[in-house]
Amino acid sequence: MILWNAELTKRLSCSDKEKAALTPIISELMVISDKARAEGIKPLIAAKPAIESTMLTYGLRLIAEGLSTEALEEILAVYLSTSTFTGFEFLKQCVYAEALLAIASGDSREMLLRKLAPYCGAEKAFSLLLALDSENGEKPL
Amino acid sequence: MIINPLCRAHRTLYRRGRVPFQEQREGKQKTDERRPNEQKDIWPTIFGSNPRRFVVHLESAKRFVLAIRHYQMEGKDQLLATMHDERRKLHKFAYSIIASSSPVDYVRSAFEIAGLSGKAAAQDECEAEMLITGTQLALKNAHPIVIMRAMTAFLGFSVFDSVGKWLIEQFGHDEAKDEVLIIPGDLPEIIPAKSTDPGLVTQAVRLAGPQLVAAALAGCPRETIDYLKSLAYSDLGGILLDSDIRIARSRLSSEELSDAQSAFLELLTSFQNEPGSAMGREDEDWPMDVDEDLVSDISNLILEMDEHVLRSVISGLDPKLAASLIQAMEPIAHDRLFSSIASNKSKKILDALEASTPLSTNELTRRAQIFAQKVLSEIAPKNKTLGKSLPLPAKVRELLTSILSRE
Repeated sequence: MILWNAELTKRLSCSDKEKAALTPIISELMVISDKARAEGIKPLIAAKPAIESTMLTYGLRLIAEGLSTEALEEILAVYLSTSTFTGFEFLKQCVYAEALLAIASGDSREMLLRKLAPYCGAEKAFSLLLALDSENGEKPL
Repeated sequence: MIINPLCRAHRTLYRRGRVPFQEQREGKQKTDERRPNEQKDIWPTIFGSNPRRFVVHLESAKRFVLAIRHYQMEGKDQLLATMHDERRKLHKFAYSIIASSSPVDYVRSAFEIAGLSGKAAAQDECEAEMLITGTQLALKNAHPIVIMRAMTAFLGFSVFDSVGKWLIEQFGHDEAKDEVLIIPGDLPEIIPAKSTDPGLVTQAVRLAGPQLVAAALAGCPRETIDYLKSLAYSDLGGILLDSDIRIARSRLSSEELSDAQSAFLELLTSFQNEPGSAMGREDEDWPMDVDEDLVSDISNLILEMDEHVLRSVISGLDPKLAASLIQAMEPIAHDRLFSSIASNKSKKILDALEASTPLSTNELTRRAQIFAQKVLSEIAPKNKTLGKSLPLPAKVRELLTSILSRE
């Protein structure tokens, strides 16, 4: 069951144009996830980040600490809920956190896509999945 | 997914009667104070950046975590003593909840009923929120490292490094106390064989989760554990893994540890057929040579033999021969073999096993035949009577015949 909270929904709200800007971010996160699967987490931490993000930088280090997914979820939720970000910036941080959880769980590329695409809005999620797949020269999911 | 824990965190932080998020933020943005040693707030939080309060909160978390560590090591009396000496209401109350083993779901309402939380605006309750989170995790018996990371998440990422350093100082010396436990299995050989593809090893670690990884490694030599740590864990992660391994060794039976090894091994080799995986290619080095029928015959022979006979044969067996036989045995047979011999003999066999190299099918067959002959000579009566067959159960006779008739 997916929970819903009015205050959180308000905090996450942003324009369609802003949501569309998530597409390249999601593409980049997929590259990071591919690297994590191919090389492990430690080289990712050591390398210059592809995306300048505090959440990603420290989140990868939390993954390397081997926390359970449940603990990691709770900790990332505290970071997000107590931050002062709102609107698109907050949405972006949530997408980073979602990607971190997927990397920590060892999710496949397809699963990561399915988890991140809905952040662009339910209506756009499907077209995003198709667009991202064709970009990567793969079959639609 | 992050959305559910985020909803829960929002619901509790910004619940009824509290200042809405936007208003808090506007109020706090006027503050120009910086946290100690920080030039820039890399993760601004609703709790602001008053340096004095910030230091107090951090010290509060450290004190709580050290108290929980002593409680987990020494028991409830230690926590009650800490509670008695404690002056701060928040800590005292948190310890009392933990000492009474209250349900986790009750923690927040207990703090509220006691008037320690829920009265002020969210941004003024940083320490209470930290202690509620810490208490909930302590009741779930979480490791103090996890508790500290969760409590200090309320202070933002700017303390991440200093907290990590402090945790290593506090918890980095426990490894020396570890005893070695060896459960025979393939994992110690397989993991280094996958070294050319660390991504897949770390992927298997993530998929397995900390508990299975710890249980799988609990029966492995120290070198295997250290090797996996170097691939997949940070220094702090390594400390946490060692702790999980210690717990697995104390709580799980050797059969369960062996099952965990097998499960993790299966996960590692499940990547075999994935395109681009180097694992499949490396896997061919050893297992392809193993004759499954021979493995089955040796394992069944060990399982079917009378305990007295087995003990007698193994105790007189050269440890190197026993070690090579173990290479061609299923884990359940390892258990029976080791449970039937003295610990000093087990140690010699395990030492020989560590020093052994994979054998070809022919060599394994030859050693299995030597073993079968020793079994026969153990069963044979000392004063030979011609014309009488040996007192052998049919199944054992069949297995011995199968092994000895191999070419």
